Amino acid sequence: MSTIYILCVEDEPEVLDVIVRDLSALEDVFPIEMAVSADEARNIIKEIKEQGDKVGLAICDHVMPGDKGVELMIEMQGDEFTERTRKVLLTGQAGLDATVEAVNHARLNRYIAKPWDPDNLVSVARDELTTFVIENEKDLLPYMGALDAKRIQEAIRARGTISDY
Amino acid sequence: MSSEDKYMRYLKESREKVQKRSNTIGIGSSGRRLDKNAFVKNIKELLPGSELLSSHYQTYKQGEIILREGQENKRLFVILDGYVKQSKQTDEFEIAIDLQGPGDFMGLLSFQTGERVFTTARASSDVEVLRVGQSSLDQIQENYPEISRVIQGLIFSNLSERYRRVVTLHMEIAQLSRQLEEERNNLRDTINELEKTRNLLINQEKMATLGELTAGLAHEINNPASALLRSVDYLMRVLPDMTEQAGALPDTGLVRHFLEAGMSREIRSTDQQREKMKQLQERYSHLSRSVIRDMSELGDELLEKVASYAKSDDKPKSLRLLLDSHKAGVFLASIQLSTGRIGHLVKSLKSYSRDSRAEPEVADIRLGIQETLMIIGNRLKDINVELNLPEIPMVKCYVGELNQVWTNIIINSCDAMEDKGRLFINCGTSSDGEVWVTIADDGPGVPDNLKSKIFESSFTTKTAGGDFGLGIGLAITRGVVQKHSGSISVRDRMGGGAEFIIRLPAYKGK
Amino acid sequence: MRTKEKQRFPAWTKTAVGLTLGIIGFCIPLFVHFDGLSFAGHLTLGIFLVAAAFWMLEPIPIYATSMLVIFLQIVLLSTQGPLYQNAELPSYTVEQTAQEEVWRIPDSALQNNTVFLRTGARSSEEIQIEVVETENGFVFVRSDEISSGTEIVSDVNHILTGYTPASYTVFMGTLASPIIILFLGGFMLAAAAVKYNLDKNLTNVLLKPFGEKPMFIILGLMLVTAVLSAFMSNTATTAMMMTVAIPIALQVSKEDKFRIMLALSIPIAANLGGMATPIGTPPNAIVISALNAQGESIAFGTWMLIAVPLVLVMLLSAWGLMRVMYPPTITRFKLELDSAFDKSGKAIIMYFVFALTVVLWITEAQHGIPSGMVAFLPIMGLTVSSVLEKEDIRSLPWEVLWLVAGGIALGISMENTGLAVWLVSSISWDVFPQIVLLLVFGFVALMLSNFLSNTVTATLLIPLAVSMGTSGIAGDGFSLVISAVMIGMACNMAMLLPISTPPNAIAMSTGYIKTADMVKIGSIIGIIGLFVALAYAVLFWPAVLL
Repeated sequence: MSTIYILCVEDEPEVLDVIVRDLSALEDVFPIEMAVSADEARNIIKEIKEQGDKVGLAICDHVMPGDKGVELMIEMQGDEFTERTRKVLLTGQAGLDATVEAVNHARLNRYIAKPWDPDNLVSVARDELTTFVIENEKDLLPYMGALDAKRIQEAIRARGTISDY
Repeated sequence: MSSEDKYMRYLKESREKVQKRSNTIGIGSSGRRLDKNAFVKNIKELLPGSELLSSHYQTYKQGEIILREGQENKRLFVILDGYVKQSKQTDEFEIAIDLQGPGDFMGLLSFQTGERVFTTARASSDVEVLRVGQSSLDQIQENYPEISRVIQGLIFSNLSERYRRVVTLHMEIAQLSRQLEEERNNLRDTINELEKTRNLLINQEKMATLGELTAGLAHEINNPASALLRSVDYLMRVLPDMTEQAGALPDTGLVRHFLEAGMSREIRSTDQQREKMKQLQERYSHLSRSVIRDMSELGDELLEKVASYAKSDDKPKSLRLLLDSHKAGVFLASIQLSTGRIGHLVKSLKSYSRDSRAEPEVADIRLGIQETLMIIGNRLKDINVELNLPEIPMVKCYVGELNQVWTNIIINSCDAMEDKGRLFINCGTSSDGEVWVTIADDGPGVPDNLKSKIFESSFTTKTAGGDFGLGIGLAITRGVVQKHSGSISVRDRMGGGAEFIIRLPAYKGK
Repeated sequence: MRTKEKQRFPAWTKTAVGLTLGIIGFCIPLFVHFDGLSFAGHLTLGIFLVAAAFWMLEPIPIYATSMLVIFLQIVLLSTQGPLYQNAELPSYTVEQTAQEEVWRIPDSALQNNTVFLRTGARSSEEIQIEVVETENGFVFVRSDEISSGTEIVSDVNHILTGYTPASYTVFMGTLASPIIILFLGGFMLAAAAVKYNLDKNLTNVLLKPFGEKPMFIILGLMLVTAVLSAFMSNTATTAMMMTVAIPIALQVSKEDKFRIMLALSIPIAANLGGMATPIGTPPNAIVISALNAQGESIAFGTWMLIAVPLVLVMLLSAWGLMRVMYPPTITRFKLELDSAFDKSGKAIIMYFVFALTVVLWITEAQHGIPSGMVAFLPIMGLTVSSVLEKEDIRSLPWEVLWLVAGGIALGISMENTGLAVWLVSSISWDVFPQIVLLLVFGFVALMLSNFLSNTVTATLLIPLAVSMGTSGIAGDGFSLVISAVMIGMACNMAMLLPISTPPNAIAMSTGYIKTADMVKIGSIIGIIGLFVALAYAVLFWPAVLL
């Protein structure tokens, strides 16, 4: 079974720190990787790919030195490996243009404004990861405790792939 | 068509109008019709056969002066063909007075009264005239009595026509001046309108700059605000537990030690942290990843200290407590940092937007430049700003307005560089005691043909729809600089890009 | 970057051990000769050992093991296989001696006072004789079953001795055996019910009368779960019921033990509910098919008659037990039970087919149409009416059918090669009273199936029980039917660990319970279940079954 990672990209270390802390409840099932720039994020994605694992969720700031968050997300959308990754923009400032671009070209799944509500961040992450595992994973049971159990059960029921033996 | 041409055509038309009227009505003591055309035709018929008449026949080329204003004139000119322009010279320029055509008399007044020629007559086309002196006129009157009668009638009619035309002209002038007055009023309205529009544009420009600033500020403030809020949340959650459990540790000083270490921790790069996490996970494979992450933030000395708690599974609470203490320290430091940053930003903003209607103050403009850089910091994330700001004299200025100048020029440069590149800001004092500031970028630069235009209010290189209202930015900038008795210009930077130079008079007082 | 949680043993070691043990197990009978076991019995023992190793350690999926079993049987044990294709029993015509009823035979024809009469080129019959005297290569034996001219098998170790090869179609045919078709019918009904949300709507309707008090909600959940899992797979029922239970759990604080009770009640009820009908879970199929092979058919309704009272008693005891172990602090809930039955044409057809099939199954004893035949009603009805389409058919749990078919096929060979009898004959079972035997069977089944797949446990144990009954080893009081049913029931009571059954695994994944909770309640329920079943087996079942 491959591991599903959460990737957080944010250029300010203090902010990155609190994002990771907020998401720590998910960490035991979904290891979190942190990157302070789009370049670092690319390297991490590459490494995860080489390990044969997956990136389930990318939470990205927009305004960063180097490539912007939206650019990174568009790039991820274009890559087969990260195409299915759920993409969340977490930013204090992204113009309408950037947001529209993200929605249209990066299939942005969510937008969270800074400063954020931690419960909301976690529930968004949980929701997106639930969608990711339902769409991509065969065995859903390992994820049920950490994610939206009801949706996962519903998916198990509808799939009918687990049977008695 | 020049205004001169226009006027000439007007004269021609009005002349024909008057002539037509007089022709149809008929003027003459005998009551017979006095027809200029018939008269001219008559003379032209007589010309080949008459020695007398043909000796007075004369032609002028177009542009030739027939009579010059101020000269003496002893002859009467009868125009047989072509047109003659009458004009009067003033101190500065020539005013066209009248246009005369076939059948008209020229030099009539000077010929009759002996006064000097009143208006200059110039052939406005090739002209044929009959030029006769007093004696010749008498001769003609003798030889051709039928002509002489017509001439007298024509002279009278000519004079009366002139009078009529004067009256008509007066009327038309009166009408024109009324129209003129009206148009002047319209013009005034238009100017008022323009003034309003300009103000609106300036306001829009200010709003655009403001929008840019608020967006940037939102980001600048939201980041520390997020960190601040979340840190406080975390502390509120863990502190009660920490105080409660601190007694469980054999050495209560440890908690304090970890807390203080957290407060002064150096942030590891994400790469280093990843490396550290790898090492720790190999060493403590039984610990969950979130615990490992917290441990990876500890310095080596602290890691030694927690090692005994981390090794076995039976002291998770103590390990947790120490990690929480450290983390609490980290968050305390983060709170300090964040509040500091927000405070600094707010202070900058306050001084940046100082009320421009207040009296000018004597200020160090370098501070304004630095505040500006701080406030638009989010635009400068990918821009390498190279500051070289040595001591310069104070400038008496409206600080808020000058800040607008810096903002406009810097944002302009950012736009030109598409937010990636280098920005050079220098300042100094010139030999004549002026303070100068240069703001240069390594963007595409300003093409030579546009250098003079970019300060015009209608100039913009930006496409519609994207940024709005900024076309007027540099015009306002120039306005502000000029208001401070300074100047602004642009030139190529050595090595590519544009360089704006702002010169301001240094404050001479104490 | 990442260090996965270190396991004590990497996954590949389990695979390697499983594969090695399986292969060794398969080879042992090829090199070691066991007295009293026919050649075919040795082959079957090899298949049995490899299957047991693979099923227990799962180096390959358990359904794949079943396919392997059938493959090996076709190749090694079928009439058409390379071994038996041209084989003929070597013949020896007995020589009369001077003595009355004493015959001279080659000593290769004799083993442990047993001689095989040659009844055909490929069939033989075992008889007991008395050895009178041996003489260089020959034996003088006494028997009244031998007459002049009788042909006996001259080589007791010949591959055909003691085994009449079955056609390969017998092994393959297990996949189309009535019990498999019965299951297929059940699967299709369940798939159609899920597709049209009948299961959810039914749940909401059935739960309504149970009100909003926690203990009644639990009781309601358990009863509804048990009813549904009697006709649907336990796993699918659990997944569906969890979607009802999770919103309830979210209304409770994390400390409230009610969460534990909620998460436990559903898998327990699903596991128990599976016992209630022949189609409830695969072990039931193994039991029924093994009994069918012995001419002991159990009707659908009869099965329910013996199982439902057991299920009810166990459900109620589990409910009472949890009430004591995990007393809820919350007193009242809000339940949102909106049922919206699909009223489309196809859904109506499905409701009709569903109801008719269930009624026909339950009343099998009255009309006499076997349940396997009735099962063709949903198979036909749901596909002809396009209630189930190609995708739905494809997503049926076919591997479960293969698993059961492999089990049935292995059972056949264990019986007709004499392996099963040979395995149980080493112990003198007849010294134990039947009640002790039932207890031992039940206990062994319970223990094994806690760690192994329930179906596998049944597959491994049922042939042994059956052979004890048929061979008479176990003595007169032994009832084949009751023992087999006991094993089947015991297999379904295993719910000690998360790995015991898929419903347990699902409940565990919610994170509401710890393994310890499951072990605690699972062990108590297992023991209660065992004794209740024993009581029924002694007092109630004989009245119904015998």
